[in-house]
Amino acid sequence: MAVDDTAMLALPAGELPRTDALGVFTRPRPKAGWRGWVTTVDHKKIGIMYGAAALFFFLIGGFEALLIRAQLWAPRQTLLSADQYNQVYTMHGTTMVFLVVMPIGAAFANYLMPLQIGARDVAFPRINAFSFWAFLFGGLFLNTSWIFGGGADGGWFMYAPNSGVIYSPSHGIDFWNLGLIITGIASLTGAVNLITTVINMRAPGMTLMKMPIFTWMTLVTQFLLLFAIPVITAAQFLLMFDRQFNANFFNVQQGANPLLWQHLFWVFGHPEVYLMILPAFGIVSDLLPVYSRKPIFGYTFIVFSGIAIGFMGWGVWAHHMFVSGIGPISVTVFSLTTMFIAVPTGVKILNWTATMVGGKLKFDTPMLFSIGLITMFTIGGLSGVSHSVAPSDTQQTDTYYIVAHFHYVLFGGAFLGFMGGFYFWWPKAFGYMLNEKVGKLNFWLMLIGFNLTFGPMHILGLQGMSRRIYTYDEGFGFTFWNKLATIGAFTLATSVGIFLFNIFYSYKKAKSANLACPDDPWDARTLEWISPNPTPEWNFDPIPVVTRVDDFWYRKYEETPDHRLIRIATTEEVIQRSDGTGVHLPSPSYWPIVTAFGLPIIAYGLIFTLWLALLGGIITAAGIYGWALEPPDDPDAGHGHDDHHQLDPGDDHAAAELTEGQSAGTDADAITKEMESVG
Amino acid sequence: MTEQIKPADTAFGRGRTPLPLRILGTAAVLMIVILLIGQILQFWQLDGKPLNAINAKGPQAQEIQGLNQIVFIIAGLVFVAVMGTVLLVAWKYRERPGDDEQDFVKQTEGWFVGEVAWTILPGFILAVIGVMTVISIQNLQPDQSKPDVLKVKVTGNQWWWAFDYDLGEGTDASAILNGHNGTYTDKQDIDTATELVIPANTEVQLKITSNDVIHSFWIPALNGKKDAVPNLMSDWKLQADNPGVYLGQCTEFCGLSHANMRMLVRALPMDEWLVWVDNQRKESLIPDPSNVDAVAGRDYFKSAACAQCHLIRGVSDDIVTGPENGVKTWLVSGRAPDLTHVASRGMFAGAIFNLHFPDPDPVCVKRNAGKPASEQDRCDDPADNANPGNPANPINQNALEAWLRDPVAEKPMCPNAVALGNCDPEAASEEIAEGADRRGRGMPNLGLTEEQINQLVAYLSTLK
Repeated sequence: MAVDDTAMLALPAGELPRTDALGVFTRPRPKAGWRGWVTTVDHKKIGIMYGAAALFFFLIGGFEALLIRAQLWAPRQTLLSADQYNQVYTMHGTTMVFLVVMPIGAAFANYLMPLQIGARDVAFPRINAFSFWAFLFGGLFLNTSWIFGGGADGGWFMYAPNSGVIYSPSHGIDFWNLGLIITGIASLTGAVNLITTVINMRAPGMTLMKMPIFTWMTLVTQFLLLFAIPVITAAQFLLMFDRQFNANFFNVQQGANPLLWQHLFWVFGHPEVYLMILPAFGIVSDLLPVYSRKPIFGYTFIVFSGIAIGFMGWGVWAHHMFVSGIGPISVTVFSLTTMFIAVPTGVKILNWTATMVGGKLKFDTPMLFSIGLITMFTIGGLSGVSHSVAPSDTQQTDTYYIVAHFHYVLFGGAFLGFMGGFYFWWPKAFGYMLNEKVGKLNFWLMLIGFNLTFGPMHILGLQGMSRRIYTYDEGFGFTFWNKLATIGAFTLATSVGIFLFNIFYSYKKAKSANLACPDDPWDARTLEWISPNPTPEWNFDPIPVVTRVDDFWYRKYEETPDHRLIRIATTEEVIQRSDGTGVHLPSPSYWPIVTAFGLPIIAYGLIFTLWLALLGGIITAAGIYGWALEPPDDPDAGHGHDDHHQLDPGDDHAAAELTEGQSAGTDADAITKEMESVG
Repeated sequence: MTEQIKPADTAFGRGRTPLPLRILGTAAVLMIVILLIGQILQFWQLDGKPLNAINAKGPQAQEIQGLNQIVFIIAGLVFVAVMGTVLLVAWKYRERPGDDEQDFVKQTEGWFVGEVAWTILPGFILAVIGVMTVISIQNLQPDQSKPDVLKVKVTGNQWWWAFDYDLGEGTDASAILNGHNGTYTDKQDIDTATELVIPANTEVQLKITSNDVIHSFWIPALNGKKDAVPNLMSDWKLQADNPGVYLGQCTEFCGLSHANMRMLVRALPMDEWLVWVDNQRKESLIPDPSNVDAVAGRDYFKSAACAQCHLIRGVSDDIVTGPENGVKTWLVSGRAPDLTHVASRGMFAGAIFNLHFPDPDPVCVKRNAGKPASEQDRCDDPADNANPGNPANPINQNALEAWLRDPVAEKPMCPNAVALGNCDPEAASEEIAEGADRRGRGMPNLGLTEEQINQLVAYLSTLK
């Protein structure tokens, strides 16, 4: 069937655009059941799926961590062979970085960012679905290496030439490489999508400097992804051509300089560190004011220090290479830039502390996790300064001191922040509260377990225990602190178990006691709480008009001349209670998951037989084809019981285009709704 | 229109924290404090363990440790200040029972002067550290024109270290140290493995590289680490103030047996070192005819697979090792340890086994003092790999026999891989039979008989 491309152009003349399917299928309808999840383009469902997938991978990565700790419990343990240990630690690092911390950041960004800026969805809802499925399939593909001859064994940094076929003949590294290329595609499309959303789809009145800080940090993070992911993907393509087709990019026998890989990897790898931690910084910056009951201290400084970290993060990569043989001038320069990136980070910590000063602090679980982040991240930051000093770093790098450092940053920093975020926004996403008592038990056990696991590693590193060793000898004196770390790791695992228990326990309790979820349980400040819990499908109706930072808060409270507050509205008065009638939402689609599904098949094909790659290519191409040609909207998909869609298909079509392609904020329906609300 | 906020919602467990949780929280904070204090105590206790990175025994390591101490002290002060402030603030401004949630504290949004101050102050502290760092980086650069330094090329191989000395002709210290010419294969030069033997109190300038993957050379007591990168020569230096043995560990992940890749520096007084040099320059000793086993071992070595990779000068001279000299072995790195004077070394197989009995560990001896003999620990246990063997002591026959019997069982290696194959010996031997190239990494199991093992041990023990 030929595409009639004059229809849209003819619109202004009054002709009706076509509403029947251009592609093979009409758009799917289901909003519930498993098909609803598979075809969804709703940023909230996608955010939840990101979170669920990340927690699933977290359990896998955590199990790998326990294997590592069990192996190192005593000298000369034989639980794992050298080969198995190398695979397990490589997959632990890879899983935690690419399949846990990054996607949890993406989960929060997907779920919250549109809500925080007053949008009904992201800019490109189908691309958003594609990003998720590509991430999930990439992650699963990576983990199927366990059943196809073993995981990657070159470390998550995969230094050349050890990643070459001669040194690692099994397919583990191929799985690592191709799997991460796929998740890289997911991150890149996600970055384009989320950046566009923040730039274009903010509610009326929400200028950049009125955005919640989590949204700011998401924007910075996505810019980092946008520029960092292409670098690692390029490096991984080189590695792929090396391993599959003998391209000799990193083959030292043919004269390659293996430092090329290190530069490419760390030009990605260091911004990567910041894009893992910044979302958690954003979360904490949004949580602390809620529980301190006063505004964030130095909003501008917090925002700009985040941006500064984003920029400076590009100029420090070679501090991972102080001992690699780069010249003394390079070492000096990167040593100094690394020191000075501590300044904006310190500014954040001091501003968080100042936010608490003079407040009235409520120690609910999210607040405990936030303070946990501040204190634990401080330890990680200070040990970071100690190895920005290049000569000291020559004694510390590649020892357990570094392992301690980055776990204090990524677990004590990023993950504790995420945990706080989970407890804080759980009612928003799922419509029930997580139990606070269990939550506090969860926090304290996690804090104990975390410190017991990673604290001793400082000492182990200074005692000279090297990283990535599958065993050690009695005579080096590592035994005591290793035992402590192993005990800590199992305590940590228990606390994670308590978190999972809390999810099910609180759900059951809320169900059986028929507890209604309070709409504003924490007396919150940011815009996402203006809609009831759990968030309705249409997010906002009408789109709110924003006048200042913490707009939701100032709908409830007014500042008196002496800088105190009086309540001006009840929660019930400020929460939106509408049924979303007439709100137009993007329709679900089959094609994102189909397009993403072809990618791992291409990857299997590159490893086992190129015919399979052809099949995968056909699936992905078919997905793109169907995607391009499917009707922009299901004519009957208008939300609720509004029937004006049937009456006026032309308007409907134009509105759908806008919703999907541009902006819910300028959506024709929304504008009408807004006029009502403003009026 | 004020609203009476509903009391804390106990249905979700909110409200006053119950006592057990309070106890847990207090215990957690206390435990973390104890853990921190324990770490600090351990940090200051230089326990004499061989890989301790804060136990400097030479000027380079001291340079680093001096800088390190300043940084740790500053970081410690900042840590106490920040942590103390956060905890104090959290305590002081906590919501107290009976507080009215709606009685609001003063709403402050920032303090510009403060912000600028706490941006500049850390910047200033860091600038001070920065200046010291830059000076230290310069101090740690080897001065290539410096006289009276020993020049050694250090080459990483999977999973052992090769040391090639660039020496001058002659036998006196000055001629040996100053006569270097940039090559490592002259008649007067030395090629050894696993142990870097140096004169104490003399600067040693290293050129560090690798024959296969990236390794990292690290002797914690003498200096920080430097990666051994193939196709790259990295300059580094170290110096031991006193004679002694200093252990090291490869710290860049280098594949299967990364954990088993160690090395040591043996610092000798200058006169002893000169004797050592003189001996190392000689061809291998021919065993006394009365030592029948050793003679048989020498013959076997020559005829068997050993001589396809290992050089013993005077026995397997046609093994020209190292890629720079044209690879002749089937090893990926092109090189196996030179065994010409293997019995002059204390350890073997990547310094993870003692080739000779070690001297009694002084800490252990001290611990034993006063105990009845039956309760005393063994202080010269040859299986204690952290206590390096002394070449002057008898040979540790058991370890060497076990190694020759089945090296792969003693240390994970991949000796039989083919071009695109795997480490499975059977699959590899099939492919090799079909004509594939061998690409071994490590020593294969040669299927030696007990008699052959005895003969080889007898022979190798004579190679002083």
